[in-house]
Amino acid sequence: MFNFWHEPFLRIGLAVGLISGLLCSLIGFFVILKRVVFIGLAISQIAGLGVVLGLMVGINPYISSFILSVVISIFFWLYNTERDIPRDTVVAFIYLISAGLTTILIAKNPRVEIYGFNVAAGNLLYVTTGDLFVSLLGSVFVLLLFLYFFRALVFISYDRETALTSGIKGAFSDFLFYLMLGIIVSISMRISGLLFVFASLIIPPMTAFKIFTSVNRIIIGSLFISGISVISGFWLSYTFDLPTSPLIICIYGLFFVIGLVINKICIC
Amino acid sequence: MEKLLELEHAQLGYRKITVLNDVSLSINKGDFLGIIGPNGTGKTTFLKSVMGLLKLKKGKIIKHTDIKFGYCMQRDFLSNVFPFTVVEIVLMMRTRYSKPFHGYTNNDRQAAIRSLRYCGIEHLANSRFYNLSGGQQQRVLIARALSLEPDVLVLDEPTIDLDVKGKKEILYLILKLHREYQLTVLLASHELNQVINYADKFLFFADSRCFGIYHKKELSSEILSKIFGIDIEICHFNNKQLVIL
Repeated sequence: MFNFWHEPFLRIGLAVGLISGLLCSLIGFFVILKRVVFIGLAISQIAGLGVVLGLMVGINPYISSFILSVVISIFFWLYNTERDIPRDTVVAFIYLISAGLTTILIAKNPRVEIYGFNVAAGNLLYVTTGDLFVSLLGSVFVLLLFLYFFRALVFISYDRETALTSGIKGAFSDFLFYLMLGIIVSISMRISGLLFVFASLIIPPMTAFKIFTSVNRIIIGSLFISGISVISGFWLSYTFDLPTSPLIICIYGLFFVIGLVINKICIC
Repeated sequence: MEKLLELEHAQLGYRKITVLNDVSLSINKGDFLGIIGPNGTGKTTFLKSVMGLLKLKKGKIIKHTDIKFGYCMQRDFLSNVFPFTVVEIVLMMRTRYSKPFHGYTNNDRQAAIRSLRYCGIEHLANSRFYNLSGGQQQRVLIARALSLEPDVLVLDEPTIDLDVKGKKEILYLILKLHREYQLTVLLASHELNQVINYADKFLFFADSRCFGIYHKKELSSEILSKIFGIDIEICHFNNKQLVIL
């Protein structure tokens, strides 16, 4: 039943998938709290463009994806919500342009054409130990930042103005959030694909919101849902020869339906 | 009276929008200042400018001492989706003092519980904020502001959407804090009738203009009618003032 565990490439794929899923679910709590869900999608798409550009010009896709994701994350951080064009509109614009460019580059360049499907759906089964190393390095950095600034991030995300009057440095906290989001998405996009990254940002925390009624439980519950979904998705993908990332997303969806039922029956 | 802060020929607003022009006034330690004006006349802009959340477009603000503001924003702006408990909400204000990688200290927890007790809601410490009534939520926000041990309590429409009993209880609580702790209070409201018997001084805004600060004793039907451009009468009854439109 668990033959897949004996395959080294699957073990690495599972480890990287778990790291990506858990990191996305962790930052996803703040993505929902700050109501910037579509910024998550736009950064994921930009990271995908970065991967394609990297493959096309022959530089490491991690580097190109990281640079583009962090640059666009900082742009969103700097973009003042009170400007003439609302931030939502700019987010949609960036998402659409980067999606269009990604499609054109994939269609017209044989070197990256083969990667076309992976940009959207990812390919967790073909990751390397190098990918694992990068994921581990990034996740340790993000985790330390997350734990160090957790309370300030919660306060600034929930009630920005009061947090500012209490002496919290709002601009710095926002910068850290967008930096973490950029790093997580760029790490995950290369191997997991747009759909997996966006789904992991949103669905596990959203499901945890339906089931649990305290902040700590929501975060832990979200990580648990993400972890179980990735592991079971890997196993089912190996067993039934199905694409891994889309399968994991379907399991996220299943958990959400279960969450809705639990929510109706009882609140934990 | 010891001056806390002064505004000199200040122009207040957001980006290209000027909300208030040429505001000059001073706020003293121990004042209970009611900031009165119809919706959209710049009360919140004024509060945010005083607290430093908005930069002045022109003029200057002079703070005579390092002021800690305990801010109670309009509770309607808070998301009711997140399942924070009352004590978690209050403890947020202690975040600045908490150490990274550590939980809140005993001092933080004691400050939070003390504030809740003072506001009469210690028994609700572990309740979910979104399950509380409007009046209880407002008390939580006041307790949160108090847990910072502020010099100035700043309240933006604290009685909005409350029933008559709720309004009276909240205003009485604020008055008690002002009297027992000599806390300086800045309270913005569009309901003069509600605030007139609680504040000592009043700052009026109407038609993008600041009409300056009036002491309670200076208020008259003529002054109010002139400021708001409609007939307003002030009556005295049992040592209290009534505003009749």
